[in-house]
Amino acid sequence: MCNILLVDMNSFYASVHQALDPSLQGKKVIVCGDPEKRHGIVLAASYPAKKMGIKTGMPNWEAKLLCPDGIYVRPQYKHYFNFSNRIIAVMRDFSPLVEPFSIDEAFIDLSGTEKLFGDSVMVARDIKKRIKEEVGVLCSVGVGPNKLVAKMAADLEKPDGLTLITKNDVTKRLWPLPVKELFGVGGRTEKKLNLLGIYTIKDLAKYPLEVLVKKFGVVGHVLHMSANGIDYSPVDPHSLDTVKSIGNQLTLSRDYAGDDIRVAILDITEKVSHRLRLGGYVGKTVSLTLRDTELNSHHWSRSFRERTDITEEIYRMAIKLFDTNWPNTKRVRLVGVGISNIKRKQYEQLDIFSYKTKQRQLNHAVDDIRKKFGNHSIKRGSSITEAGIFNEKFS
Amino acid sequence: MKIISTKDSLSYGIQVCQRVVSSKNPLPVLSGILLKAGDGTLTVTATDLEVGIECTLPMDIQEKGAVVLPARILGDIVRKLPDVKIVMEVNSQNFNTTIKYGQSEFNLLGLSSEDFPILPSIDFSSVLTIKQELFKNMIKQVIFAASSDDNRPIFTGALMEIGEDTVKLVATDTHRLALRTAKMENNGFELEKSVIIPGKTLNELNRIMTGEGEDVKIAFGENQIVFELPGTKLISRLIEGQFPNYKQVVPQGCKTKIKLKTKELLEATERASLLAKEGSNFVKITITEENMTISSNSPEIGKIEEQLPIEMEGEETQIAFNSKYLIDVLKVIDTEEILVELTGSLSPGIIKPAEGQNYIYVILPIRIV
Repeated sequence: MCNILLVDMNSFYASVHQALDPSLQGKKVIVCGDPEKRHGIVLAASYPAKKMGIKTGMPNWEAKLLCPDGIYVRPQYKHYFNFSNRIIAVMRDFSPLVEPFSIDEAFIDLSGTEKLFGDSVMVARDIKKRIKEEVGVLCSVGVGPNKLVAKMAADLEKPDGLTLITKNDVTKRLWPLPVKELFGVGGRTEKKLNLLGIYTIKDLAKYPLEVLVKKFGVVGHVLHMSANGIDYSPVDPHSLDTVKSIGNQLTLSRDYAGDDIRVAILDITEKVSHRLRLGGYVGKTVSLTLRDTELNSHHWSRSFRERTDITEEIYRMAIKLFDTNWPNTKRVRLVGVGISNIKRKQYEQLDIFSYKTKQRQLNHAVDDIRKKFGNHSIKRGSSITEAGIFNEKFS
Repeated sequence: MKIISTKDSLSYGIQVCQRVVSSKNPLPVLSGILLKAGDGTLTVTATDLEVGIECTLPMDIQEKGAVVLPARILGDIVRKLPDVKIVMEVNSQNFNTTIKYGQSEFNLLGLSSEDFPILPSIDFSSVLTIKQELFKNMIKQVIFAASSDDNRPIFTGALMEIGEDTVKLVATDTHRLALRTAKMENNGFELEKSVIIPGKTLNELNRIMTGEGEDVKIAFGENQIVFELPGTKLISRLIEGQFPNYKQVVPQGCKTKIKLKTKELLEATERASLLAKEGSNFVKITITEENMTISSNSPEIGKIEEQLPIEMEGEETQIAFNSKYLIDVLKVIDTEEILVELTGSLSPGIIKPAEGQNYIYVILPIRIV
């Protein structure tokens, strides 16, 4: 009963550039951020580039040392979305149950389509073939009894792979892997698991459930099930229909301190709340992420009593988090602001002294100006100071 | 220090004071209660530096002295003591305190009273005197409308305005505003004055006022207010800042005027609010010549619609309110009937008792988008 597939594009961004410009085929293509800015990191690399040691997330300068003759290109998100949509469209020809998981991955549930298209491995071959011919990029497909196993199967063979893992294969294929390869286990969880003497997925699968639950709560239960290849989550074609959170973060062009950090927080808040209003949402929880010069990230969040979409209220909350948590003299490398617990805006509580009404009107006037004349057309005074982070671009 | 007390007397004094003690105060002495034995009286004092309460009890004093004891544990012990003669004795060297009851005793480590802050003394030459019963009612009808959001401190308190022959109490959280006026001829107060009293202070005062025919005397310091009840004194810091001009926002005149039974609207609103989901807790009100319809709709649960008989003048209209704001006010209005005055669906509405001019509640509607 292996009806679930995960289709994972290989080196997706790099592949899109190669599909758009065939002269790049087989070359060391590296997609990276603005080389002038500090936040230039490798976003994707073609397989020849990966062979030179290039990894996603590597800073540009490091990539250039490893691969001086690489072809460095700037990201073009418009094209990636377009390719992603075309791939999803191909998959929908096989089943309506397609769940986009990220820009370059999607699940498909083939239950009940056997009489139409044959077994799952045959469909996997067809999907690979059609994506290659019609869209022009390669993908790895994992086939499994559930989403978790399919996802892990797809990671086993790259690029252009096709891997089937049945329920019975889990012990043979997945258990020997290091525990960090298990879906849902990140760096922190890995460290905690290692402290318990758990190094492989098998170790985790065999570990007493009660101890895991005591240590990790509900997550402990999920870890136990995952390690045993059990996952009941359905393929949900609507999982991305509702927005869950809106956020933005940016590595600063230099390390900021003091009031400059406030300007950066305001600029990002402005952008995030603009997007919130554009979507017609109100949010409840504001989160602030700051990364210090030692590259440690810090994250705090706090909720309003009533949901809001007013820039000034969201900023006040973000600044409260900043003031209560960040030492005065500590420098900041990256600033991020997010708003979550989001809902469609259905109503507005009017207020007696019109404070909010006036702020809302101001917010909307600014939104309208941006819509008509572009995002750069209107800015706050502080944003055009040296600390303003969208001095040149506001996208 | 050595005193002989009944359980009730000691327990009363500690209970009055205990609530203002902050559990997370960084100064250890402030998590305690000061007991001071003087000439025939025991004075119990507690403060969190914002509010202070001092309660003076007649007491059999064997030896004068003072001690600071941890508030929570002292309160718990005294409440659980048997109803017998209680002897409290403090070692003046190390402040170890022994509480003897019957054949048993309890030992508690105390602190020196020297570090305990002295409550400011306030000039009682100009005093406002109000009946406790009246002042309790004023607080009850107003304080629920204050905000609990510390971002704008002035709205966490109530404005007290003393005029020539009136005292007014006003509170608002910017979504609704409650205004209570009391006629006060010969109140004994010579100045016109307006101050913002913290909500916490008024709630504490309300708790300790008995309301049985006694007076509360109010005096003002630089940035403080003191309330004096027989045997008890409550001192509080005032909230600094400018209270917005509330008179401007009380609508003059209206297009729709309705009279209906307080209890009927309260019960209907409470039922309608049961459907209110988290985040959209509003009820819709439709007014026609014949009746008022209250409805609430929660697509995932169900809907409710109730009709109430009303007396009505003016235009038919529709409006939506946060159900909590309606319920809050209907609970504190003590007349059988109320007046509701509306001017279209986006303007402030007014709710007031059908008789009397002493209470007005302004409530801002919800705009459905």
